[in-house]
Amino acid sequence: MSAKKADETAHREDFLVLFRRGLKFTEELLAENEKLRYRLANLENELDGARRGGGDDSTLRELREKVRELEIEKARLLSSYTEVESANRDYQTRYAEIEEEHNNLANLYIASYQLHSTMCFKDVVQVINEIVINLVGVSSFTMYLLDVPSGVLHPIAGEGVDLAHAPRPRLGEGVIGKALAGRQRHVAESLTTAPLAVVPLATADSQVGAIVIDRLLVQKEGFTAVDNELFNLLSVHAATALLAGLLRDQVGDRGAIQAITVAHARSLLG
Amino acid sequence: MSEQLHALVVEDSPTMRQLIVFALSRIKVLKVVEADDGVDALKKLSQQHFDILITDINMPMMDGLKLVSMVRKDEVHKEIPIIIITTEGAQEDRQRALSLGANAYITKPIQAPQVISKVKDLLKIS
Repeated sequence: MSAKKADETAHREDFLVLFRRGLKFTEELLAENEKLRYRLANLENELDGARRGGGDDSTLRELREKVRELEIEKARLLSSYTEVESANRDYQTRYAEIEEEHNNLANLYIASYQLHSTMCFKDVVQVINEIVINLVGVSSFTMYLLDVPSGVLHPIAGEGVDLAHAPRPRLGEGVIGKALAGRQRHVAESLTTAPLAVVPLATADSQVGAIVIDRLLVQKEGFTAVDNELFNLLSVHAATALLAGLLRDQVGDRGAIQAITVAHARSLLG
Repeated sequence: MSEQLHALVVEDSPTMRQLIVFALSRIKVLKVVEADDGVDALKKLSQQHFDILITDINMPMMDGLKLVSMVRKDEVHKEIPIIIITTEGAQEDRQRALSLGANAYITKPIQAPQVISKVKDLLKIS
């Protein structure tokens, strides 16, 4: 991420340099335009003076030619100014897009970093809670864990819900069970239909559980593009972090460390 | 402006704290110190000078609103700019925080540019 961050910073710096150049060019154009206006006004005055003073034809022709050239130059400068203005607008739009992308990447990076910063099951559950509440913006949700032998999903954590009375769906049944069985996220068509979303938690070879979202924070008007990315990340990374936490807590900290041997690692790699 | 400024970020969620610190890292003149809750924040405020305080509301030990009211009553820190970053989006929560002395109120989920812009405004840096 540090390389990515440095890359983004370099992009931003490049963009700012370009933006400043555009601004400087616009200011120069405006100054040039002002000079031309001044010269044009002077020439028109001279032309009027020549007309009134009965100047000869060659002087009048010369002045007319100068006026015509200046008019052309003015038109060219105005056209350039319009082009620069349009380019500036494009840069501003692009800058806003880059800012949004940067923000989204930061969210994903931090979510992933936090999920894998611990092997303690309880801490992993806490991190998932924090991601769902703070990064997605959820006020009510339930986290389910699949009891593999019985095929029943059990509520293990959540916010704004009574876990004791939460449903216990079976794998493959109902919106929650089907989402996990099919590894397919469910998103409701409207914000008035519960659940608003079901995010299956599964690794390549294990179904682990699900996050069921019932209500968003009052200030949140719906799911955004980065929410979908966070759901994608949670689907896999939360599942692996939960599994790792469960396994590590089953053997205990000491057992997990003792199990780490180079010989074992080599045997796993074949 | 090359003067080093100091921000205190008070947030019990490590995930959220990391996100705020990450956003603030884009303000080069700002050095960030972190606190887990209101009590930890008061301790850190007594140990060094801070130019801005950024706090969550819902925290164990001492919540953000209590922290704001205590800071505003303190002679040394009563002028420090305070930004609240919270999940509480209701209008009455915002009014309450502002009436206690917070200078700005941002609701989660946060957008980094919004936080950066607010901090820069309050610290009067470009």
